[in-house]
This record gives sequence, structure tokens and C-alpha cells, in this order.
Amino acid sequence: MNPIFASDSLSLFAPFLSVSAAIAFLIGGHIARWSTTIILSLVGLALGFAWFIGFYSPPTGLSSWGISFDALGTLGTQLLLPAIFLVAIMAMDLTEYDRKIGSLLLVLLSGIGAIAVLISHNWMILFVAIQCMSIPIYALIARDTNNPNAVSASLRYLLLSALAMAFMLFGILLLYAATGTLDFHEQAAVMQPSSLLILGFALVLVGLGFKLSVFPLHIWTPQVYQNSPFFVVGLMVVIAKSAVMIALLRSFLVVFANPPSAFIAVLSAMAIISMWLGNGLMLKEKRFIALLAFLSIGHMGFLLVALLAKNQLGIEAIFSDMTAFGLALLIILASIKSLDKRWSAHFTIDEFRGLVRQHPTHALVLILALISLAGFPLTAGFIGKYSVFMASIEAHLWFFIPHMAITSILGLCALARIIIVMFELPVENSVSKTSISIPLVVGALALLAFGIFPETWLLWVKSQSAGLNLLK
Amino acid sequence: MMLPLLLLVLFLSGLFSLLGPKTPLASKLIPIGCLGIAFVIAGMLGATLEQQASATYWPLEWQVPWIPSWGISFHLAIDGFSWWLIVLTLAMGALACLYAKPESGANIYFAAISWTIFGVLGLFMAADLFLFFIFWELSLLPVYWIMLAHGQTGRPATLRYVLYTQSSGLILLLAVLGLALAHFKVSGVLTFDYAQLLSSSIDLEFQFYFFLMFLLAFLIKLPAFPFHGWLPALFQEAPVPIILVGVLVKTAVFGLVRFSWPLFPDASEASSLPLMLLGVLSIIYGAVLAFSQRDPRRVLAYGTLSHVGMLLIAIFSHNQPSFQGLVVLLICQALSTGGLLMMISHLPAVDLKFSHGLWHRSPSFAVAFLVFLLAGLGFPAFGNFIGEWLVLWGAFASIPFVSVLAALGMVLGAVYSLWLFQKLCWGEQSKSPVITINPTQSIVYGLMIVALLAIGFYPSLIINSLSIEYSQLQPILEPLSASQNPQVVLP
Repeated sequence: MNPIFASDSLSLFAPFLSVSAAIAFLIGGHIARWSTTIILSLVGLALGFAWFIGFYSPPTGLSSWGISFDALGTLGTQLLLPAIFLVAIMAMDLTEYDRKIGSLLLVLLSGIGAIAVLISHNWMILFVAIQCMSIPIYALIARDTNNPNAVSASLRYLLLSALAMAFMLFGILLLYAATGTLDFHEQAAVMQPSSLLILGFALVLVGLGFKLSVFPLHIWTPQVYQNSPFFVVGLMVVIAKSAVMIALLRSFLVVFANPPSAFIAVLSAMAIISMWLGNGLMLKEKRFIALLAFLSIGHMGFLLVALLAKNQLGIEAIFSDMTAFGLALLIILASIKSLDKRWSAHFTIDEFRGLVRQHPTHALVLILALISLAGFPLTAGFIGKYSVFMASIEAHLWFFIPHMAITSILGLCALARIIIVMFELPVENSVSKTSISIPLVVGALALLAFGIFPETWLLWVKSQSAGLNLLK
Repeated sequence: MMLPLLLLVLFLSGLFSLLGPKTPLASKLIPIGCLGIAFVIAGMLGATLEQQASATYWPLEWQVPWIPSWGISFHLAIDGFSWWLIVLTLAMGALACLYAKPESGANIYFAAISWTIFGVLGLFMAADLFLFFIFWELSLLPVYWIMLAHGQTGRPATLRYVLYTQSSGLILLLAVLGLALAHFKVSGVLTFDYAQLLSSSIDLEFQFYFFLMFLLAFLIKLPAFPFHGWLPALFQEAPVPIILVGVLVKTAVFGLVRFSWPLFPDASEASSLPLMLLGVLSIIYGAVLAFSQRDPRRVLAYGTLSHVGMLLIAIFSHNQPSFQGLVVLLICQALSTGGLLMMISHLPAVDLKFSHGLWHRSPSFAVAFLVFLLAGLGFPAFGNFIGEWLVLWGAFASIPFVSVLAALGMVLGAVYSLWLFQKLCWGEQSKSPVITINPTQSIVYGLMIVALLAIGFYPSLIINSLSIEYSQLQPILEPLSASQNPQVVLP
């Protein structure tokens, strides 16, 4: 191992340095009028640098700023960096010429925030990081000038998010009042069950649950997603949610290692109702982006079960399932943009009609991504779902199994409906000019490869999360 | 090594059919050629199977690690029971390919047939429960595909079929997973290997739950009485490859025989009476509903439900004659029902409320139709008769009154079959269409009839090769006494 890489401070700040370098390249390239390809390659190189440092450096100890790349943080960053890059490519692709750089910049800023969310071990840092991650998203939604509803959607998201974050801030305050510290590990040491603590965590959960859009806090999602450009949907669903999920996982493992039963009851209810609601609402939904919103609500409920399992398998399952879900969703979002350049609100599943006959390759990519989302065997999504089931059986969460099983079937039927539409005969005036890029085909094949040969992947996740001493 | 080769041949067959030449003749020759190779391999497998003295659990196996961290290996193995099912599946596939009319999109049809057979064969060979589940799902994908690509109206029927089969698949997955984890708790080894799980000693209570889950998954796929909602729609919607239905029904029977009894002997024995009664109910219910349909395809769909009831009785009688009867019935029902479905696909849409008088205009068609109907209802001289007789004998040795009820229920089979014949073939001749059958198709029908008669007259061909496997499948139960269960050797 290169001794430079082993240095704590470098590995601690590598992602930030890299993203900052990427931003520098971006702005410099813009001023120098480089082509988008060159800018994107430089951004990719910078992000790749952080990725490799994360790959070769051991987990660091807690720094004095309340951040640390423990196993969760490292693994999470490793998975988020490629996702950020994919969303960046989509952003370049989807916005008009003179606005490209702005979109890319905002995506990268949001990405920095997401990485900060992943590695914060302090409630205040976490709060600030979540805000850093969200603010560029408001701007990204609002600056889509083609969509008359963009500003109202952005404002809706901003106001509701501000409300939820205010609750979270108050919750953090109550946790501080109960324990006298904001640091996760110090809080865990002085943890005494008290009503203040329960109330504090409940309020914190409002903030995190809003970002995850689980059951009582999910109302905003379909509306906001539908009025966002496709890559912003990817940013919100894949990057923001994954980061917050890992933050929740860490707080659950560290701070609330022995949670009072009320926590468990609340989280269980949120998980089960989210699964039913998300998958149930998908069944009749015609608007494609709203359907994806419901899918992600159900998926978050599913992941909460793995979180409640609280075992090594559960942690691995969260990572596997999140990765499979994120990759499939990004593939779908990137490949439907060629079907419809307009904003998402008008995109119904009927646009897929006749796709199989007109564009078999495009249809095949979409079908692979959809069956992976549905958890069909031999795809990455199956490995994710399977791991969650295994974790919950291992943890004896019998009560959840029927709910997970039935809602999985509901979700599968909803997604099968889309595939069935693709097989129908095309209508006369349907979109006939679509294209599919090679990266998307590669991505779809990657879903298949993960599904057929998951061993390498599983061993990697296992080895990365082996240093996790969080489980008591 | 020959086991994965067999799978590879069929997989490539699908690939070449899809991507290869699209001319009618060439697209037909590819799958038929590949099936021919597969037959040769299966024949060689059969020959080695005869000679093999089994040192391990399986007479013939092939294993490579697949996902070691979850204890999953790519483990293929066969014994005589699975060998017969493999041969039957290949034969049905070959018939479906020979029979197909060359038309546009035929290459999709051939690819789907090849891949279905690939999946089903993998399922019959899987000696690892996880692998079994994977093939279980894989064999369904081409069926969904062909229903969507070639079906008439497609959407609701396909969605319903997806709903039923995926529910069954998920239940199966949970059962497999639960069983492996329960075994892990007892022994500390995470494995999905069939032979290892067989020797597992998990709690009786757990056993019962897992048994119920396996059972539910297989009953939906069969389908048995309360879970048959998808069957008529599939028969009506699916185009010619309806013959695949004959193949897919076998997968659930295979699952029941291979997993339910050997893995959960106590639970199976405890629940054999209710399940045999469920079989009787399926026989009667299917026959009654078949009698009240107006579309011949739906008649045959409910007739299949009725046949499945017989298979259920055979499985849960659990003795040697019923097991032998089961295999004979599986083969003969696939041939007779498959023949009927193929013949019906010549007809335009017919309404059974009226008579159609085919006898006068198309006598050869009517005669062949009658022969398949007689075979299906268990007329002596056909293989079905031998099968049903063996099953009834086995059921009588196990629980006599079930056998009596089943025999009475079978009479209803004759009722709907002969009624179907009457409506289609008797009556005014003016309205009837002329049905032409081309030479290839007549050869296919001829071969099927000859096979049915051959099994009817010389069943010991199948029966004698199965006595060893039966003793392997029932490791726990004592054999029945000699007077109840003599060795069946027919001339």
C-alpha cells in the first residue's frame, strides 16, 4: 500500500478534494470553452481518484470534527461516487447548451453534501450536510425553464423540507438536552432511556423520514418528482435517499443500539405501511414518474426492514439492495429521456407502447432494468431482495415476511404491466425516433452480471463492512 | 459433463433460433436439429444411468461452486425419474417444433420453446434447492414472452398468469430460504444442497410450516382446485405453444415428488388424506366445469384440472404402484391433451352450444380427435388406462375410499369428453368447415397415437426402470407388505 494513501487526513478528505477538483475543472473548462466530453472526463477522473483512495485506505478513526470514514462511510462513498458521476452525465445530456455547466455544478455540490451525510457522526454535522445536499436540488428543480410548474414544485419541496428540517433541528436539541452532547458515540455512552430522548428521536425521524419519503412523510414525492427533470429524480431517489438511509442506519446502530420498544414499533409501522402504500399505489398509476415515486416509497419501507434486522446480513443487504435499485433506476431514467424530451409530468406508461417491435434493444434494456427492480432472479435486484429476506429471517422478523412477500408481488405486477404495454402494437403517431447509448446497454448487462455472478460483489461488500464494530 | 452440455445445447438452440436465419425452413431446422442432439445426449445419459452403481446419493451428477458465500452450488444430477421427465419434455418440445406453422415471427416462437425446455430441464436436473428455484423462474420467462408476443389479446391473461406464477415462485423462494436457514441453525452449515438437506434434522413444527409453503407453491403451479384461476385463460389466450402447458404442469408434479415427501416425510404423511381429497375434488370440479364450457380450449383446460387431481392422488398415495402410475400418467396425459390441443388449433373459433358436424366433412380429423379423447378419458389399450389403473390400485392400498371416489369421479371425464366429441363432430354437416391437415402434422399425430398405444400395451418399459428410484424417494416409510404391493411386471 502506498504510504501516502494510508495517511488519515488524505483519505478523510479525498472525496471532498476530488469533488472540489471536479468543480474546478468544470468551471475552468467552461471558461476555456472545452467540449463537454473533456469536462466530463476530467470530472470522472477526479471522482475516480477518490474512489481508488477509498478502495485502498483502511477505515479512519473519528476526527475531531465529528466526521469519519468508518466502514459504512467508505462503502457508501464507494457506491455513491459512481452514481454521482452517472447523474452528472445525465445532467450534461439533458439540459440545454448554455445551462449544462450550471446543472453539473449543482449536481456535484449536492454530491458533496451526500458524502458529508454519509460520514457524519455528529447530529449537527448531519443536519448541515443534509441541507448542503438538498439546497442544490431546489435550484435544480426550479431552473428547468421548459416546465411551467417547475417553480411551484421547487417551492413545495423547499417549504415542506424546511418544515421537516425544523422538526429535526428541534429533535437534535432535545437529544442534546437529554445527553449533553451531539456526538453519536458520546451520546451512546451516556444513553439513559427517558421521555425526552424518545421525543427527540421521533422528531429527528421526521426530518430523516421526510428525506427518505417513508409513510407519513411521503405525500410530496409524486408531485415534486413529476415536475423535475429526469436526472434530478435520479439525484433525489438514488443519491439523496441512499445517503440519508445510511445516516439513519448509523444512528440506529450507534446511538440507539438498544432502542426502546416504541422506536421499533414506530419504525416497523413506517416500514410496513410504506411497503403497502408504495406498491399498492403503483398498481393503478399511469404516470410513469409518479409510479417510480411510489416504487421508491415501497423500496424504502423494504430497506427499513433490513435496518430493523440489525445484523451483519442486514447491513450488507441494505448496500446490495440500494446499489441494485439505484443502478436500475438510473438506467431507466437515462434511457427514457430519448423517448420524451419534455418534463416528466406528461410521461405516461402508454409512451412505451410498441417499443418492443420498434426498438428491440431499447426495450431489452428497459425490460432488464424493470425486472431487476421487480426482483426477478438472475438480476441484481433479486440479489438485493434476497439478502433483505435472508437478513430478516436470520433476525426472526417473522411478522414482516408476509408483508414483504405480498407487497413484492404487488410491485412486480405493477412493473409487469409496463412490460406488457411495451409488447402491445404501436399506435400510429407514437415516437419512433429513439436511441440507446452503449453505456446503458453495459449498465443493463451489469445488472445481469451482478445477478448471475454475485459472489465477487458479495465478498467485496462483506470485506468492506467487516471492519464494522458497530454491532453489539 | 453431459448434464451441463444438454442444457447448453438447448440454450444455444434458443439463441440461434432468435438470431439465426429467418426463413421458414431454416428457422424450423435449427431447433429441431438441436433437439435431435439433445435426444442423443439424453439417450447416452440413460445408458450410463443403467450401468451406474450409485455410490453417492445421485447416480449421475455434476457440480461447480456458484455462490459459495451463501452455500449455493451449480449442482446438476439426475436419476431415473428425472430422466423420464427429461425425455418427455424433449419429446413434447420436438412435437411443438415439428408442428409449428411457418409464419412471421416463427423464430421468436422457436426461441421461446427452446428456452422453456432449457428451463424445465434445468429444473428437473437441479440438485440444489436454490438452483431449482432459479430454473423454476427461468422456465416461466419464455412463456410470458410468447404470451405477449403471440397472444391474441394478451394483457389481462398474461398479467393474471404472472401474478399466480410469481406468487408461487416467491412462496417457493421463502420456503427454500427458510429451510436452508433452519438447517443452518441446527448444523451450522449454510447449504442448499438437496442431499444434505435431506439428512437434516430440523424441528417438526418448522417442518410442517415449510411443507405447507412448498405445497402451496406447487399447488398453485399445478394447478389444483382452489388455485386454478390462471389455467383457462392461459389455454384460451396462448397460441399453438399451448403444448408448453403440458410441460409446465410437470414441473410442479416433479417438485411435489422430489421435495415434499423426502424432505418432510412426517408432515406429508399427516396431510396425505386431505390432499388426496383435494385431488378428488379437483377431479370432480374440473370435470363438472369442463362440461359447462362453450369453448373447446376451456373444456380441455378444465379437463387438465381434472387430470391434475389424479396426479395429486397418485403423489400422496405414496406407494410403488401409484408412483409408477404417476409417471405413466404424466407421459400419457401430456401426449393425449397435447394432441387434442394441437387438433383444436386447426379449428376456427367454435361455440359448443351448437353442433358442428365435422364427422362428415373431415372424417380423418374426427377419427384422430376421437382417438385422443378416448386416450384422455382412460380407455383400455391406451397408456392413460394403465396409469389410472395403477394410481387407483395404489390409492386403494393406501386409503380405499379415496380410490372409490376417484374412480367415480373419472366417469365424469368420459361424460365431458364424449359430449365434446358429440358437439364437434355430430350434427348438421352444412355449417362445418373443412379441415386440412398437412402431411407433417399427420405424421406428428400418428407418432403420438403410436406412443400412447405402445405404452398401453407394453408399460413395463417405463415401470420396470422406476422401481429403484422409488425406494430412493421414500427413505423413511417402510414398504407396504408384499400382498398389498407386489412387484408390478406386466407383459
